[in-house]
Amino acid sequence: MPVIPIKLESNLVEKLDALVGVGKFKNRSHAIREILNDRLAREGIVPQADKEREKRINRVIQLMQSQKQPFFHIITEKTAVDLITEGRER
Amino acid sequence: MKIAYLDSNVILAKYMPLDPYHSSSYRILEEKFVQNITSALTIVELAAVIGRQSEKIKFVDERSDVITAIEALSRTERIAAFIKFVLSEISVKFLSHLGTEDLSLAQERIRLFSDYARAYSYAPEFRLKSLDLLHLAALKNIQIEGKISVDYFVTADNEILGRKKEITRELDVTTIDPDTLVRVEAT
Repeated sequence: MPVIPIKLESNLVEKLDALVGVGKFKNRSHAIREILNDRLAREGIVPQADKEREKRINRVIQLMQSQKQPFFHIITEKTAVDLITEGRER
Repeated sequence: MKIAYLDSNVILAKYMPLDPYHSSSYRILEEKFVQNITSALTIVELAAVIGRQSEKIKFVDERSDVITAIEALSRTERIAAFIKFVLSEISVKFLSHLGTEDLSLAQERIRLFSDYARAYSYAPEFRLKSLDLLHLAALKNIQIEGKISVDYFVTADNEILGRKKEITRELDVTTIDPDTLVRVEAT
C-alpha cells in the first residue's frame, strides 16, 4: 500500500482522533481511507474501481462463508419485528 | 415436504440472539424441515435493516482473521458484504412473479405489477401496512402464477398474526408464528 504524506488542519486532526477515540475507526489512516472510499463511491468515480470493489467484497464473503457459523450477530434490544416494521413505517 | 413462505422478520431473527423467536427461526432456516420460500421484497427489507443496523453487528469470535479483512473494506463495502453474505447463506428460495395487471379507475387504466395490484385489492379487508400487503400479494401470486401450493405463512409480527383468520380464508394458507411452526413440523 503506497504511503502519501498529507497536510491537515489541526482541528480536522482533532476530529479524526475523536472518531478513533470512540472506536469508529482503528487509527487515523483507517479513518482517512474509509472516508475517502465512501466519498469516491458517492461520486461514482472510475468504473475500474467498481470491479475492484466487487472483487474485494466477494473475497471477504468467501472468507465469511469459510467461518464456523453463526459468524456474527446483530445485538440490539429491539426485536426483528421492530427492525422490519421501522422500515415498513417509513 | 410442506412449503413455508417466510416473512422477512423470521429470517432476520436468525441473526438476532436476543430476539424471542431467534431459536425457532434458527431451526427453521438450519434444519429445513419445511421448504422455505419468500419473495424478492425480503431481499430489499433485509438489505435495508442490515444497512441501518451495521453498527450493531458483533462478531461471535472477535479473534477471527476475517475481521481484519472486513475492516479493510469501506463502510459501504462492508454493508454490501454482510447483505450478500446473508442472502447467500440462508436456505430460502426467492420467488418473484413479474407479471402486470391493468387497474381500472374512474377515467383511466393504470398498468401495475401484479403484486402491487393484488396488494391494492387486499388493503380494504386486511388494513395492514403497505409492505405487509405486498408480502401477502406476493404469496398469493406465487400460488396462482407459480402454481406452488404454499402451506404456511410464517411471521413473528403480531399485527399480521391478528389477521390470521382473514389471511387463511383469502390465501388458503395457515398463518403461524415461528415457535408454532417448529412445534408442529419439526421432528
